[in-house]
Amino acid sequence: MGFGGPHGMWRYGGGKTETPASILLRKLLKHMFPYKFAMFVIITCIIVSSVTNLFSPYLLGLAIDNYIMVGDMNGLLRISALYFLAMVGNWVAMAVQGYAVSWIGQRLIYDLRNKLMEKIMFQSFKYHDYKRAGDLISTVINDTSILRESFISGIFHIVSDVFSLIGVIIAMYLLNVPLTLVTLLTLPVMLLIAYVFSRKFRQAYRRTREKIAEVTVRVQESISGIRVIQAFGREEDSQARFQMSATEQFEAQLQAGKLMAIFWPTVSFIGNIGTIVVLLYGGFLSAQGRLEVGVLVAFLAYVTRFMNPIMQLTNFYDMLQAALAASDRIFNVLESEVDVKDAPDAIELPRVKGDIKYENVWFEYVKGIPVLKNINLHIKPGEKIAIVGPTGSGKTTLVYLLARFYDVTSGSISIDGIDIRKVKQESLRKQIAFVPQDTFLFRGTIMDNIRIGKPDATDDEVIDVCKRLGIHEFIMRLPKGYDTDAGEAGRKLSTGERQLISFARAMLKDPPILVLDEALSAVDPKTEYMIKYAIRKLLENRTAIIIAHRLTLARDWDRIIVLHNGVIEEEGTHEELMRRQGFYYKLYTTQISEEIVVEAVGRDGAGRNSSS
Amino acid sequence: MKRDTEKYVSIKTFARLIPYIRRYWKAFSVSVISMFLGSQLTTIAPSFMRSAIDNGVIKGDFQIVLSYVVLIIIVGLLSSVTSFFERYYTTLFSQKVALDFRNDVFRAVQRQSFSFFDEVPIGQLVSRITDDVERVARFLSFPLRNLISTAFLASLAIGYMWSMNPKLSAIVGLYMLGIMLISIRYNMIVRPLNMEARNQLGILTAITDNNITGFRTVKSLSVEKNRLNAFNVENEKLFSLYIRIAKVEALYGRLGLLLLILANITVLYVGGLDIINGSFTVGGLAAFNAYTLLLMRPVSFIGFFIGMFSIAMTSAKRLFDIIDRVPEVYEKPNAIELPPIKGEVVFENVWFGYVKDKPVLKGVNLHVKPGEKVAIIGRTGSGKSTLISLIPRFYDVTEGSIKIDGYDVRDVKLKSLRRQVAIVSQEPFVFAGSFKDNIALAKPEASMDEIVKAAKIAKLHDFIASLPNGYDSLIGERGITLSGGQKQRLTIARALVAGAKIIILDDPTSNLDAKTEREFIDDIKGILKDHTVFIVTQRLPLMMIADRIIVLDDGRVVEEGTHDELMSKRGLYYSIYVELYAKQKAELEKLLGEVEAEVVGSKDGGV
Ligand SMILES: Nc1ncnc2c1ncn2[C@@H]1O[C@H](COP(=O)(O)OP(=O)(O)O)[C@@H](O)[C@H]1O
Ligand SMILES: Nc1ncnc2c1ncn2[C@@H]1O[C@H](COP(=O)(O)OP(=O)(O)O)[C@@H](O)[C@H]1O
Ligand SMILES: [Mg+2]
Repeated sequence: MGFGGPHGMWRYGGGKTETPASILLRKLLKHMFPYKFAMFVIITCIIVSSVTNLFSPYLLGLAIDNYIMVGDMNGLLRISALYFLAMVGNWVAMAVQGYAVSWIGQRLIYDLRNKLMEKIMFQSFKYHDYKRAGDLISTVINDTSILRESFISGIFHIVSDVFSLIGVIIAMYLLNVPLTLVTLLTLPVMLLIAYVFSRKFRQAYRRTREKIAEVTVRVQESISGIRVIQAFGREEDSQARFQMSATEQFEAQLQAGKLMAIFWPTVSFIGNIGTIVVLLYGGFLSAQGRLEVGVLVAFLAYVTRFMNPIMQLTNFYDMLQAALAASDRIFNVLESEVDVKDAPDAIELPRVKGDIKYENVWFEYVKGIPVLKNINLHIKPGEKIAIVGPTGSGKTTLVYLLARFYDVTSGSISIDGIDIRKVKQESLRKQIAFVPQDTFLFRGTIMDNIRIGKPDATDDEVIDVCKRLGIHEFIMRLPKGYDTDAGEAGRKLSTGERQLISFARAMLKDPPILVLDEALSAVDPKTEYMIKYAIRKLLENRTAIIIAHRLTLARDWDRIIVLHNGVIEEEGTHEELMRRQGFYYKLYTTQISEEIVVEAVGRDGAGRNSSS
Repeated sequence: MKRDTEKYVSIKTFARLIPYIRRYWKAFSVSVISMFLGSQLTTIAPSFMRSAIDNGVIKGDFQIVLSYVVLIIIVGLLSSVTSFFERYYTTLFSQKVALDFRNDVFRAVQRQSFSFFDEVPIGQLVSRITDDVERVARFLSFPLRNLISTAFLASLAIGYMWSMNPKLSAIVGLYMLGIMLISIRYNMIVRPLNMEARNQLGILTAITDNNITGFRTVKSLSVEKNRLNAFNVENEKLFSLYIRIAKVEALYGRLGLLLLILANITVLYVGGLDIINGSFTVGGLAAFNAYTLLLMRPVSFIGFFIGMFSIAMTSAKRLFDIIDRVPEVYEKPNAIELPPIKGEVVFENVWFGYVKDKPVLKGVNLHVKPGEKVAIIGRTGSGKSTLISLIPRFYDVTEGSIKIDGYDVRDVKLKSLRRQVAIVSQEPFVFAGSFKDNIALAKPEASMDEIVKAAKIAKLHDFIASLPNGYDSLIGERGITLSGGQKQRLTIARALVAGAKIIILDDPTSNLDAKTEREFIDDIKGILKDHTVFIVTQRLPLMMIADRIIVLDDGRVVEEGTHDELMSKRGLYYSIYVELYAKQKAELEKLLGEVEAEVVGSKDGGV
């Protein structure tokens, strides 16, 4: 027992599992199998320590009755030496056991975490569409910890508790049968109390957990919104709301504290009763000359050893529940089906020229609701096309299929004549660079973040790409230039600036195929325009797909694909489409006329308020 | 040297905790006194046991055994009662202190200015307010109280032992000294390791979070292996740290127990000899063994205490650092209430930089008349957002001054200033809660009429009214998700309820598609009639509603004037915003001309 926290198990609370316990346990044991040597060591140590532990009171009693009372000094020395050996043996066994248990536990977590992360990283988009990031993170970090604490440490404690308990009962039985029976009488009382309290504890601790989570949420929200709170001078209000959650948390904590304050004194009192009953009955027997003093002393020592494991065992059920619930979540991730996988005979896709072909492609995220309908599209090597269309028309989906983030529902997509389902995903994606609308910055510096596109790039290569994209200057304006921490920079960079970083990242990858998905929506028109020309040079010899909702960015490419409700409505060059006066023409003229009207009105010097 | 100053800091930090402790001294005293009594009782019990054996069992007098048993039961009951008081009041005391401390830290965080939140990640602040406070509370609960009672318990036990057998006591005392030294040493070694492990777990969690939330980016870049590798490396580090801790625990952590065993054996042997000599009793031996066990905990507790103390004080220091931090933007003691303003804003030679020696604004002069609408434009990074964030004094200027209706913003009360200046940003923040609460944020006492009126002006009323719960509908995680445009209107309604005279729009339309943008612009013209308005934007149509356009470049105002004036200047404004469209317009006209000609031509040909 530590100070103030002997009752760790109640923390876990219950948790229902969907998979039957027996299956989960079997799987867990399978994962433990590689550590069979360590397990063997632990079991041996448990046996040694339990036996030696039992010996000591017996030896003590022997020493008193057979040597001290008799006055045999040599005998006393011998028995002391024996006692010493038993205790040291016990100590060594405990030390080795402690170390081995830690080792297995840590090793298991370490392996599980690596496996989980690998599984998660190589899962498909679809899987992540349906899983919350928070849950996955918690499985990798917390569920593995729970498994270690409750299952590994727990199971060995329990094994050793059971061993000692059996040993203690045998020893007591050998020493004196009536006294043993008397001692066992306290057992049901103990169990009853533990049972009653453990339910209450579970509730109380669940409440404290919930309340602290509320405090966390409150703090998170207040700080995310601090700029608004301060802007409107609502600090007092926010403080009051925080204090309310904090007070509730305090009350929950106090409630749990009160339960503890009742429980432990009760338990220790009942433990005392055991001792008292033994003393009383033993005293009675010994007064009648039916019991030796040494036996009584030894017996009293056993009684204390009897109570401890019992208290521990009452936690067993909770612990097992927690372990099962955690392992259920872990195995759920580990054994999840990957819906986009490499074919067994998948080949390495050689560096492509960039000849892309969509043939009769249908796709649906949800069964029965097609998002893309019979797409046929041929992009020639080195061609640069723009995809335009209203929000939700399927532009992003179309390019996701190219990188095989999802598999087509029917039809096929090929690059350089090779069906993308026949090649290794990694070799495919290496050749396609994406610049999405939202830029995700990883931990590390700005330099690290750009370099992630090509991990072995030198600093000079990175700087060179940035210069060519014209973003070197603003990076140098950051507090530490390229060495600025990305988290810090993330809070200081504008959306537009972040998009440019993601652009640099993609270019560094030097891909034959480049995809920009509304990548420049937040930069000013001039910068946008300049980048458009800058990338022209960078795009030489590459196939490029540019998705844009600002049509001025879409117009100057080799071809424009107009997507509407998952169907290719029109395609052709800007001029062709304008001449056709169809869907694109309408989109373009409404958008441009906004600007033109404004400009015309401005030049005419007429009242601009009438421009609507 | 370094350790000395560290210790000194810990003690100073502890001194600062004393006022908090003093506030709940009653609960603390109850818990300490209960513990004193409890430890008295605990030490008495073995001596009764001894007497019961020596005077009762050995002499065969059951009557005496019985009376001692009664005594033991009484003592047991009493100690249960004291134990309850001790535990309950300890929790009460430590959690009360934690509550106060938590509230103070939260208040201090809220007081900080924007630059603080630019630097410190949210996660870190959350962990201060939850984990660090918890660590302090944990220290205040058992360790602090135990230190006091332990000393007491130990001296009692030693007293009893001494009275029974001085020679044996001296031997046991020596062993205990050894155990104490080992425990201190152990804690010295294991504490930094534990800290390191905790940090490392933090790093591993951050990477996990990163890899999973950034999953789509990882896939797009096809760097799964790279990211997995980064994870493996940190995971490996964590594993080897834990293994080191396990080793230290297995050896050092158990060394004390080994000494205890030696002590027990020595007591048995030496005590046994004494019994044979007739100078000691069997009951005495049993009691001695019990006391030795009893002493074990307090003695090894010293090391534990030192460990806990320094962990808790490290946490407390971090918290006091926040509490002590003077916000960069703070109210002068003699700040005055800003009266209701007309809305005139003057920038006088304003210089400003987030980082020393990297000025973002370089001598801005600007005079905006009440009710005037100005557009602030310029390239990404030219300092537009920075400029406007100085008006509600989110940051203080480095040089120069900003005056509203003639009042320097640094001379007035922050609340009175910020209520009259509202910012509508590109990514507006909406609190989880109802529409009503969100709109009335600045003025919770606002009447329903005021709220509805503001929502109507902000063109949000129809939408809200169409919801089943109307203004009580919840927004956020468990409620309705708003589009970017709706959030912006909500922020405008907020500003109107607050009674803000100056309204700042920071790039409000870049996330909207063309149609929604058009609607927004049409609406906003009417909404903002009576306000002084600053509009930061990249969008030409939005610039058009301004009376004046200010062009910012590299932190300087390089052009200003009406659209016409700037057009004729053919400067930066023209080249950034107009040239492109002019070209496209010309092209379009040409194309349309051609198309018309073709249509006419084909008609001609057809006839
Ligand atoms: N992960 C997804 N799961 C289910 N539906 C989706 C998913 N992603 C997009 N959709 C739906 O598919 C349609 C096309 O989306 P998207 O390709 O993103 O369009 P665009 O890029 O043209 O705006 C939309 O109706 C959208 O709601
Ligand atoms: N909180 C901040 N801390 C440090 N630097 C910042 C911060 N906010 C903006 N900057 C930097 O100041 C410069 C001007 O930024 P900003 O005013 O946001 O420009 P704009 O609004 O014109 O795009 C940029 O270089 C930007 O990186
Ligand atoms: Mg999209």
